[in-house]
Amino acid sequence: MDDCFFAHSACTDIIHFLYLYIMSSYLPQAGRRKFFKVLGGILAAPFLVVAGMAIKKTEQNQGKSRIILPAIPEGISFHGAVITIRTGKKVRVLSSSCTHLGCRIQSTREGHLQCPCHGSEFSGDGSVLKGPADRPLTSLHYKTDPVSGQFTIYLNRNV
Amino acid sequence: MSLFRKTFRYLLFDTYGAFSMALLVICILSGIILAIPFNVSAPHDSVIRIMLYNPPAAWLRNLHYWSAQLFLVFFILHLWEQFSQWGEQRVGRGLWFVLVVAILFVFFAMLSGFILKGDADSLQARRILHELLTKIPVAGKLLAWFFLGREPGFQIIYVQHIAVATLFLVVITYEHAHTLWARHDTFLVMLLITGVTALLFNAPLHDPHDPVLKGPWYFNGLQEILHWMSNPGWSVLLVVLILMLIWFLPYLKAYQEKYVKKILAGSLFIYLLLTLMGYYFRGEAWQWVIPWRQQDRHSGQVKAGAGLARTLFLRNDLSFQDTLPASGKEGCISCHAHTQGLSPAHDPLSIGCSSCHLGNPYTTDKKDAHKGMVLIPGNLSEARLTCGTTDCHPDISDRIRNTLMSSLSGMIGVDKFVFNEHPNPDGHYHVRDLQDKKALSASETHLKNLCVSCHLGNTRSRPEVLTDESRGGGCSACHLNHNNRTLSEWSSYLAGNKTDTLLPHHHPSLSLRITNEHCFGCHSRSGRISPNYEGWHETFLAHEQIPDTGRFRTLHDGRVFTYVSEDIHHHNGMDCIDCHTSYELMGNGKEYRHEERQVTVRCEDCHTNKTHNWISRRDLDKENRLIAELRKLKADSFPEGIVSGNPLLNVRSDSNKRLLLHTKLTGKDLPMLPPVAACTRKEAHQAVSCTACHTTWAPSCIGCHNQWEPNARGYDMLHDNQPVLRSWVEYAGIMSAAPPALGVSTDTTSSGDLRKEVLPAIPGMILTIDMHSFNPTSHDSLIFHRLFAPAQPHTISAKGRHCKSCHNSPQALGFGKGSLTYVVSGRYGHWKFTSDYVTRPEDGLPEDAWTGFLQERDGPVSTRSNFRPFNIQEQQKILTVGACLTCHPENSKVMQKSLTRYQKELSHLSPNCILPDWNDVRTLPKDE
Repeated sequence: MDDCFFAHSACTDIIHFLYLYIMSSYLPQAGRRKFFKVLGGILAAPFLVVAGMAIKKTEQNQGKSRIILPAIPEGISFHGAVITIRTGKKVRVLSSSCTHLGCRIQSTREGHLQCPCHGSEFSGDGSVLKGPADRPLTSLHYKTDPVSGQFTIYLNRNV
Repeated sequence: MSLFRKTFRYLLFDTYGAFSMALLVICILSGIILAIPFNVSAPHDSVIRIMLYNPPAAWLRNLHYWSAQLFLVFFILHLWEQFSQWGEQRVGRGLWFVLVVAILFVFFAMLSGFILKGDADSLQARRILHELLTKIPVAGKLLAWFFLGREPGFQIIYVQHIAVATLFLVVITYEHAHTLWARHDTFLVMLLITGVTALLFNAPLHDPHDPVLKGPWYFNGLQEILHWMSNPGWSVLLVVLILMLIWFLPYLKAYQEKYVKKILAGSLFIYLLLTLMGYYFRGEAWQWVIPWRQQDRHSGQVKAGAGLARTLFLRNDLSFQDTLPASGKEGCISCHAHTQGLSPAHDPLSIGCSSCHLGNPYTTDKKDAHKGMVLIPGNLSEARLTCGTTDCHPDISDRIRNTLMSSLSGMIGVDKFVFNEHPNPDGHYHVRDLQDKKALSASETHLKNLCVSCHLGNTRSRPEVLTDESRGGGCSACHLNHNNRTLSEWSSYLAGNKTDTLLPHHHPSLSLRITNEHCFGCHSRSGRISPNYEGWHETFLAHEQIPDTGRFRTLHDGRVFTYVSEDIHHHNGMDCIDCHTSYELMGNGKEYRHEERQVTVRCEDCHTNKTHNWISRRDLDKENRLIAELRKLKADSFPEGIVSGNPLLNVRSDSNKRLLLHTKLTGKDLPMLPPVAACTRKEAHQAVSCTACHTTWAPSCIGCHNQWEPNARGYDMLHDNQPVLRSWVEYAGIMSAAPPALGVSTDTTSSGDLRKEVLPAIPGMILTIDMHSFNPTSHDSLIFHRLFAPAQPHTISAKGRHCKSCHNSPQALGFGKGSLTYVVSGRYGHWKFTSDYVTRPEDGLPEDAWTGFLQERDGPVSTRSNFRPFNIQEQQKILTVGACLTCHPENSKVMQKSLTRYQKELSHLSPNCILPDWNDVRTLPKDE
């Protein structure tokens, strides 16, 4: 508390000093307006930084970072932001976001994953079979709970 | 001034800018009211509820939409006009910059409005916009967050649309026009135009059952461009460049400006062309479509109509039905409430009505609602969007097209082979290819007149009772079950001129309850396995000719059947589906040439001495696991068929570890009896199949003649069974029921060995075809064939055939009916055969024979490339044993021992044994 008070009074003293110094030596009458403009500019920068931090933190708190599934069925299944592909014991989890423009893939055509927006097709391992996409679907990391058998898929961790 | 110009001047009585301002005001005012029924936490839901239950709000929504689209059009026109009048020179530099930014805001306001309705198009558009914004360097992610927020919330985008974008546009309009209010008459005319349009045309809402996804119409051109770019981030740069170009206009010299403006005008024109292309000529997954073709006519949007006008003023009985979850979002329920009869999986309260019957669910007006509706969703022509939609049964809808029950590949292949149009019966065909064919060959016409109504793709056009004449219907062919109530309600409705009070309430059920009646129609043809299974044999009697004695049955189509004997499995209460399962019937996606390749169940799957492998429930594939759940099977594991490997879901073991088959429809528990020792030991009959011994009788049809008759009334089965004049006619000879002939099927195993199997064979084709009646110039005038087919006659008995029924029977050996006697004279014995039937002139063989007595055939002998009658060596071997049997009883020690130690028995014959010496010329058949 004492430190705060001390710092606060020190700050106001500094500002007073700066004001008087600049006013007297550099700027004529209209300088006051300009001075506050400059000061505003200087103060805006940390505000933007804090704003950026606030948005990032919101993303961390509110953004979905994982999806939990009780089981992964055989074959290709769509679960919103992820696609699961199981053949026997092998499981693969892909992001359903098409690498062309980000449309959500939620259907298949003749066994291939097909994006409904422009027809890009992907195979079961995420590789591109038909454009206009040219990058494979992102493989996502997942963990299996040995007790309950449920799957936790991490949306921000790529394989 | 020309009339055209006069009219133009009259209609556009104010500036483009004034029109767009008036429209902006209408848009904003309607938007403000619309904010009340709109719910940002459930946008799609609230829009649907507006369309269904709030006609005044629906009109306001339409007004909001149409005024916005017209605003965009007039905005572009205003820009064009200002550029051609050098308007950009008259504006201050600072204001010009803001105006250029305003272009961005106009498109953002339009696009955010498109996204706010929250349907499938909107969600994908949002994702695309998010991706494009994040591609902007440095501030991309921040911009995306700021303007769009994060999925799935609509809060940010809503705020940006109603507050930021709107305010910005209002301010900028006032700044450069110095007014917000147009002339009264301008405003009123715009209100009238948009108001009437809003009454007649609904704002777009994505049809949930239409796979076509597109952005707003003004961005279809951009989508076309984006479709060609693998790295669409460059499009953002393109947009920025265009805007910068527009911004630089006032800073350029006059001739430079003119040049740039020409480029901009040209680009606009190209963009308009691309927009037209993207709107009309792109369909599902952005593939090319031809908009006037029926199957390509999907726009992605629910079909518009004048229903709102009718609902607004005529219907006042709509109530807000909050208690019905899915159906609360469908207008169907407003008339079709309390529909009963469907299983929980297909309950309209869960999946709604339109997920199967399509149509327009977002209206309560009858005419609009029924546009695009499908009466029978199961038909294969509709199945991909109804039963087979992504959320329901997509993999089945893909598989069903390749199954033999849809393609008829075997039927077509054999027919072409018989008509000498193809050298072997193994061609690969699909009946739908015949439907569009213009000129049909002889066999194809034959199929069209007589055969091809029996495929799943055949369209059923109305609800009807299931009889032996029922054909096609796609998924409904097996899975739809009408009952007396549903059919009587339907016929009362039709009889009562379709008044609303007579609307049927009972819906036929969709289930796994597939009774034999479903199979009977088509499978009472060809090999007749359905009637045979129940014990019925077809006669050529007419209903009036039925004698007093014996059991007879007349089918719906008039054919008369007589009772011979039923299959033992039928006797014990088993139905078709107890053996034949989903992958066999609906296919596994692969294309097969012939039935015996697709149908994988074998006798030994159940009747075996070996121990079954068991598969756990968790390792079952998706379909079998679902079936296990639907049939309420409690077991954790299931045995696998010994031969086919298919999981036998309806088999369980009881407390004594005995395997029991639980019949699917009747619920009986049947013990799976293992075969007796005689069947499984390695011995003389190793190559004989189960059915060769255990088939009691099979239908055998001979003496058929096919002729093309220009005056015969026939059918075009390729096009909905329309009657045609001119048809192939089949004249049948004789059909008898007797123990079938036997033949040899050869297969190469996976290790490369040749494997032989003795199977029952029935004459499918001892026939003549009069080719000249169809095509007088054809190469063959009269085709004659003598072909037998490998068969699975469904007339199994518990006891096998007795020895002599094969070894001493001319019919079993393929010689045909007659007397086959072993004549012994002195020390020599030889077989003699006299046929009951006369020989045919074409090949010198008796009418009903497959092969000559102790002869071999060459040329086509069967409807399969790998099936043939016994060759001479095999006939000799069989007849040698037959010779023994003329003296030794079947169950004698000698005969029993000869099964396992044949050569040893031959080596110590008694001096009394007289066996045929096949090398002695005297034992060869003499010409009778």
